[in-house]
Amino acid sequence: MRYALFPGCTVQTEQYGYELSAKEVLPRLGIELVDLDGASCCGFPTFSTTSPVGWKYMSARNLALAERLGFDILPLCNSCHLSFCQVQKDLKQDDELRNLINKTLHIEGLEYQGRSRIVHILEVLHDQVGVEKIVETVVKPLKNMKFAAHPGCHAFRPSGLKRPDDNEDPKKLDELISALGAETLDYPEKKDCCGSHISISEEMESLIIAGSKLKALGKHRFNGLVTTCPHCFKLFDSKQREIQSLIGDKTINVPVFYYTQLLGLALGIRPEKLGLHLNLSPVEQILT
Amino acid sequence: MTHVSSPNVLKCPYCEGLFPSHKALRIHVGNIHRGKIDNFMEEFYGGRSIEVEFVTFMLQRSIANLTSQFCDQCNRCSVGCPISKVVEGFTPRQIVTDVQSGKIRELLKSNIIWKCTSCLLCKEQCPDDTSPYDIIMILRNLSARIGYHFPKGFKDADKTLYRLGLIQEPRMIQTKTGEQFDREGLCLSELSLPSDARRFTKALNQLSRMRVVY
Repeated sequence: MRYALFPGCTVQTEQYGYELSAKEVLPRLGIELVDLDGASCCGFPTFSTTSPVGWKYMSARNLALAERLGFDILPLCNSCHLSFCQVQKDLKQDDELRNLINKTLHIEGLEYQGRSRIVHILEVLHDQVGVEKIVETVVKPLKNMKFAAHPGCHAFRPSGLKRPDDNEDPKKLDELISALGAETLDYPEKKDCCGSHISISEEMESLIIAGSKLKALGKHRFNGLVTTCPHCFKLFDSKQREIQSLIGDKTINVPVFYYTQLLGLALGIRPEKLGLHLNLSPVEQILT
Repeated sequence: MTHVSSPNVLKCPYCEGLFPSHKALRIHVGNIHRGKIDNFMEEFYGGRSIEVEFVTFMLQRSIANLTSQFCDQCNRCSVGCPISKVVEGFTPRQIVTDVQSGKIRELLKSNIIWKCTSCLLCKEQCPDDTSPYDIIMILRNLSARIGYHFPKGFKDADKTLYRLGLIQEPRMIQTKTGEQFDREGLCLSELSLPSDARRFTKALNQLSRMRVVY
């Protein structure tokens, strides 16, 4: 299995731990990753506000780049994945839009035909590699630990567009965590939004929303929160200290992991190679 | 225009400031005399004001028709909205009701439409094709185009996007122990960017100027 890796803006400009850990663990499970040279932002959710057509061009452009390489595309970000799926659907249904975008893509010598499939990291790990293969590959099971799975809204919504996980009962991330020897628990706040999409305009509200979720985790005695979305991670991990002081609650102290980091630990990879030294939340709680 | 003091200089009607272009003057009034910007625009740039009126009228008619035809006020959209829990008075349903009753200008001027987190819960729960989320996205686009309220974070992201192809520059990040790292320091491959920035910007410009909604 070989994919054109699309880290997206957030991962490749600041969430280096995700890129490091994904590039470290996926090849060990038989997934070959190829850098998508010349890629740009997917256009969602910022440029889509300014120009709906410009957004669709941006997404189509990245899909066209993957198509030129002849690979399916693997975005690391939930929202990039959603954006690509939405635009692929729109371009399939609307010949006029596709012509307009292709006319513009020709300026850069590109063409969109819709040949590349869009895959989500949950699909790659859960549906292609498979939980059993992961169980077999684990050398250092994460025993006596309980993690909260946070798939992130766009991994399971909207169900009108094909999403990697089930809208009613998203379980893939839980099953992937269990494969590492750790426990998970269906907690009531699992599907709650992190609030990250308004962090560039209404930062306080986004911190409060993320804070209420982090606070709820304490009740269920989790050892940490696990996600595959860089936007969610950014709020829960990188902004956890800001959340603490904003809502004045020092008991908020939740280690936050990318699933690929946790997987890497279970595969016996050193924490620095997985970028765990870059996490700002108290991950050392489970590293010792 | 009364505020033109010489052929090449425009005088601000609210202070002594002189400006070389209409754009510069509008930016000045928008920044310095914020409360007066609407009166100013209506007084001196009537065409734009007419455009707002027209768009408001059209929107009111089309969305109100659409929502009264489809929206039966079941309120499912507003159950569980993460923003409703944090911002008093915000519900997805209220936005739809405001559009129906023609309060579009008020919505565009306020920051309320920028508080939606795009969690898509209302879209999921709405039995109709046009959910509150979809309406909020249309309003955001209108607000950005007309220039009523467009948050700085979005503006900055757009600027970087036109220039670089990404919403932000790659950052130097700091660990808990104070160490600093960039991509190179972590042995990550070179940043992926449009190889011909000039052509990329040209293409983006061409499309984003179009006033079509697909």
